[in-house]
Amino acid sequence: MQGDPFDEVAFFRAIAESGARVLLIGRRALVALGLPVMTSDYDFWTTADDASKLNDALRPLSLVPKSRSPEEARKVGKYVLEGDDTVADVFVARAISTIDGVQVSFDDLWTRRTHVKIKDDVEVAIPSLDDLILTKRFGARPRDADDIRLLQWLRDRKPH
Amino acid sequence: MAERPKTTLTSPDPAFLAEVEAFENRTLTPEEFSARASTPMLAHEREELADHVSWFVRRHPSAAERFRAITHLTRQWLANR
Repeated sequence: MQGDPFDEVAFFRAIAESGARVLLIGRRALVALGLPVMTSDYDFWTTADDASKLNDALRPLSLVPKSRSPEEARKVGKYVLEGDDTVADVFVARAISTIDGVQVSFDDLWTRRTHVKIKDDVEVAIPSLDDLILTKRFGARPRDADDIRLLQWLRDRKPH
Repeated sequence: MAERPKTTLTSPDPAFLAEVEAFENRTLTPEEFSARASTPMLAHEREELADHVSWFVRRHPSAAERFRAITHLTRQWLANR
């Protein structure tokens, strides 16, 4: 993949070493699990307390919060980390509601989290398969529903 | 024998592209969403998906490689649509 200087291993190593509680969600989590779906950015979920640790860890990699102050991000529940050729959407909330009105708590997902190896000794935390399916109900786009079908397929074929 | 007319491919109209994008990003009602998410996967879909996943993971064994490949493919697709 020439012409792509972004170092995924350094990116996830920085997140892991930051000590911040950060979950990779969205389509990148599906890709991490082996599902080939198109996406151009990263989606993370963290808490307001952990967001500053995350920002500090990614600043040396030239990823910086775009426009919103930490207070604004907390109010809106989301901010964007932007680098030269990488964008990461960061959800900042204790809980997020699904389209059906189910409150999904970050702490619960964090407790049930699982890890995916990025490469060598670097790992990233992602929600369990059931929880990842739940996070896909935050949005109500057709592709979120399609992703749920993929995740259900993955869950059903995994040995219990 | 008459010569076959040449096919010329042109980029779609930006307004049309925007319309397609808006349609893809539309918000479904909870009922529409649940119906779509719970549509059973047909046997041939499951088989194709298993083949794709198996190829993808074999070709890109680590998550880092998979991320790089998807970023590359997505950018290529966005640039050429």
